[in-house]
Amino acid sequence: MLVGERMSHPVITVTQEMPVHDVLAMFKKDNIRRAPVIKDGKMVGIVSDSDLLNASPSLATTLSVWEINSLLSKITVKHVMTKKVKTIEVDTPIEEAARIMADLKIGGMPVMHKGKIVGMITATDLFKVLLELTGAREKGVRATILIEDKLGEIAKVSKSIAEAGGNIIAVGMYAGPEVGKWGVIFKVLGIKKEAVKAALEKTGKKLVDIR
Amino acid sequence: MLVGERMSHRVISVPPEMPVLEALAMFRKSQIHRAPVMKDGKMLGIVSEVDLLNASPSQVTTLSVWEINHLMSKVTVKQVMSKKVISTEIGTPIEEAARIMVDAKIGGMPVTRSGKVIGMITETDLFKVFMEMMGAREEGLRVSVLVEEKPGQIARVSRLISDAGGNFLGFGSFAGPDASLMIITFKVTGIKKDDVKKILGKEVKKFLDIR
Repeated sequence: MLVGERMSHPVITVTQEMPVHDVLAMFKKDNIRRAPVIKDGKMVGIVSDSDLLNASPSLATTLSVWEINSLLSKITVKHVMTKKVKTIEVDTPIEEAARIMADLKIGGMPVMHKGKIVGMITATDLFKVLLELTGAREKGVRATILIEDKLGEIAKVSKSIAEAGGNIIAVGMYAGPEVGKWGVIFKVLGIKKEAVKAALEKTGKKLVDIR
Repeated sequence: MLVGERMSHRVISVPPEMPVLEALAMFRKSQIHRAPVMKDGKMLGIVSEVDLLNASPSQVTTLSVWEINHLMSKVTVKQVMSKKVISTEIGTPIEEAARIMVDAKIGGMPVTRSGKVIGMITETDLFKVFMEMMGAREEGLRVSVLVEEKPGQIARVSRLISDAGGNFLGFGSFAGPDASLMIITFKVTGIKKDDVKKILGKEVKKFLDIR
């Protein structure tokens, strides 16, 4: 799974000359939180909703509508955008995007292909991948077990579920609460909770949670 | 994996009487984007950075420092917070938290136990879970294949790899280009690229990416 397969596109962009006020309205309408700033087909920066809000007058001012309008028409994207843009290539593994966003504490970034912007990858896109990964949108039995960190453990458990007639639609692994153990989440269709439980118990692994 | 296992335990809350400017300064210092509003141990609402920014004066007003200070000391968190709080229970599956955050388009929420706030789950926490499940921080061979969507497929693929000596560090299944296909992405050690191709040759429709 690569970034290009789950990014959002087409990309909504803005220009440096756009007044902050217009861009804020556009962000609200399109339900986006950041947009690349484009000049002559090239990216010159990125602007987020908090960049824009930091520059907008608040309801708490005593300025008249006329004063505010005249001030705001002079403030454009150019004044508030971030010039240094973190980007990612279209063929980067999707989990690498999550790593960059967690490390830099950013909520999204432009996706590039041969120097051109081809999409945006955002927190929402990554959440959706996480939902897919764990089969969260599907009905079925969700079971969590603990396995040893050694060869063939996942295969053993998935075989037992398959033999009981269950179809595994998702598998997620994570570092378990004990050292040297993995937690594994299975989402299973086609058989009842009791049957999944029995199949897992047959493997001798510790069942953490089933629902 | 449940919300309680991966939430941030540090809960920074704000009192309803706190002036908006003070809350904004605190958010920046503590690097947070939202905080529950608490009074006498009870949660009254939640306030986000955007809520606070919407109420703050911008640098473009022509108000004097004195006027701004006077005005802003009157605007408190209580006036700008959201009273309807979306929260999650400590025993909720982690992917359910992701689902709520996607559907409600929020970046984080309080985690409660018996009605008390005991943590926060944010997009950064979920990015980390995602990386864990994909083995993003581990060294190994990353394989992405397109397979037919049919019962037992995940069990078969994991069996073949582990029979050949492969040890899984991460495993994920995703929707394919159409409903009859799915993408399996995994990270393994103990097996070479060429062997993976040989072993899975019959089982997969297409090798999408091996690195």
